[in-house]
Amino acid sequence: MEKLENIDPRWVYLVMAILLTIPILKPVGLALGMDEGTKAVYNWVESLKPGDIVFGDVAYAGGSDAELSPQLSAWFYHCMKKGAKVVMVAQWNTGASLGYKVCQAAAEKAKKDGYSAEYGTDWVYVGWKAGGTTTWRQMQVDFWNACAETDHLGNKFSDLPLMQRVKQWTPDMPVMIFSAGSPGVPTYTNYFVGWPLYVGNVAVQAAEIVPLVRSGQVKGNLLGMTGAAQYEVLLWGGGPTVKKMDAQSLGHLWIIVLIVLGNIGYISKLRKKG
Amino acid sequence: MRREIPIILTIVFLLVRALFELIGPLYDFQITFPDGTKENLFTTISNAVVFMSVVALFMGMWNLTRNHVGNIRRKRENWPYSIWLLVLLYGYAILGIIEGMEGKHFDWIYNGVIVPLDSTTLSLLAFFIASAAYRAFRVRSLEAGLMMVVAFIIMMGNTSLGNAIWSQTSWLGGFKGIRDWLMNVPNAAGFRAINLGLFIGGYVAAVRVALGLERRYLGQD
Repeated sequence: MEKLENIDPRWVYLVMAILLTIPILKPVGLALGMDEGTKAVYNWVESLKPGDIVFGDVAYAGGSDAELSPQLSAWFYHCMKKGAKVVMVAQWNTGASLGYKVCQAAAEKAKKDGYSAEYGTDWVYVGWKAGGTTTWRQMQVDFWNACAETDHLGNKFSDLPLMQRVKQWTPDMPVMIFSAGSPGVPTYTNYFVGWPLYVGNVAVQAAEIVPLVRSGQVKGNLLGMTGAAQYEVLLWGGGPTVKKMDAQSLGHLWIIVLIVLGNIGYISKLRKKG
Repeated sequence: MRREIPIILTIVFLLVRALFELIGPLYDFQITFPDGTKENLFTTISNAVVFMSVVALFMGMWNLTRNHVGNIRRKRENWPYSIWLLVLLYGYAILGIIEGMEGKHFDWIYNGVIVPLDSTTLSLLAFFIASAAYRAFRVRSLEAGLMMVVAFIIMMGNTSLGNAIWSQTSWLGGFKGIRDWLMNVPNAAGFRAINLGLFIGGYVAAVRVALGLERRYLGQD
């Protein structure tokens, strides 16, 4: 029994790898619950009218791709489906291109499904701009100037029909922040008081975001991969992230089993010592 | 004067920035340039800040280059890595400038190297967390036991497995219901206390800078 306290880490890693791989190849299909935060984000997008302008912020990079890109993809598709106009900014320069590709793929999917998702008319990807929070504050005063009047691809704002309506970032343009750390949500809680804020965060950020949801500063949040899967269920009745949830469940189960085994070993060692 | 002028500039700009936040209509205040063009004062200041941040970026590149060129010249330990670093630093930057953000080769490196490496590094956490949790979560005391129970509930509340074992629609809202209470009440209380402390600390630091009491940012002679 005492040996359970010192299992070789290589076994820990091997079992983890197997448990993460099998459900991805052959999903188990465990039922998902539904978080209030996910419903709040979904209901907000559902309430948008055609032509409403919303902002999205890519405040993450490749490390959080698995958790936040599915959230961004589903949210963006939903906006296109509702006819809302989306302007995307990116607080993380390392994630700007990643976010663009996710939006581009979601726009293609929306087009195939018969929704209007034309670049420049229905959405614009402004991307990363230098200057940090100062630039973001300046976007409220003069959006074009703050962004040097060009989008992520180098197109001039004057050539993009949607941007004619976005000379300033005003409080009637809510924002959905896909955040994996800093800079991220504090940019908005500090400088965008009065703007409706919604957040898609990585799971480890939950402890930080939940108090903001509770205080009403953040109107709704998607919590990690679970949030993405729940959003897919609401939007499409299922999706690629739902399948990955089984892998996450088994990974967590293995951690719990390890904790139990470790404690059995620890307690039996204590008993032996007397 | 080497210290006084930066302190005076810091105080003046700190007050200007604070005034903008305190007096909203200041955002509409326009200044006229000698050529007759008009611009919001806040826009002018913001552009100056952006310019400074870009200059800082170049200073960082210059510093990095100087250090690594020194490594190569003196053939310090692992000096070939310095060559590799400089090749990547300047090569990728030049490629981006020539091709643009979505250029073919620039994009290929981004998608084929940067994103997978970033994802892989973070994915390793799944393995390390499993190993660390196994070694760290021992019921050595009441506090450790409590932490273990809370970790168990949060893990179960976040996964579909937890919902399958104890459903959200059953007693107490299942694992999700208890997780939500833990996050909304004890966690929120703790985090607010930490945040209040952080903000008070931030204000105190800003006031010390404004009064010229905090000078470490100027460096030491």
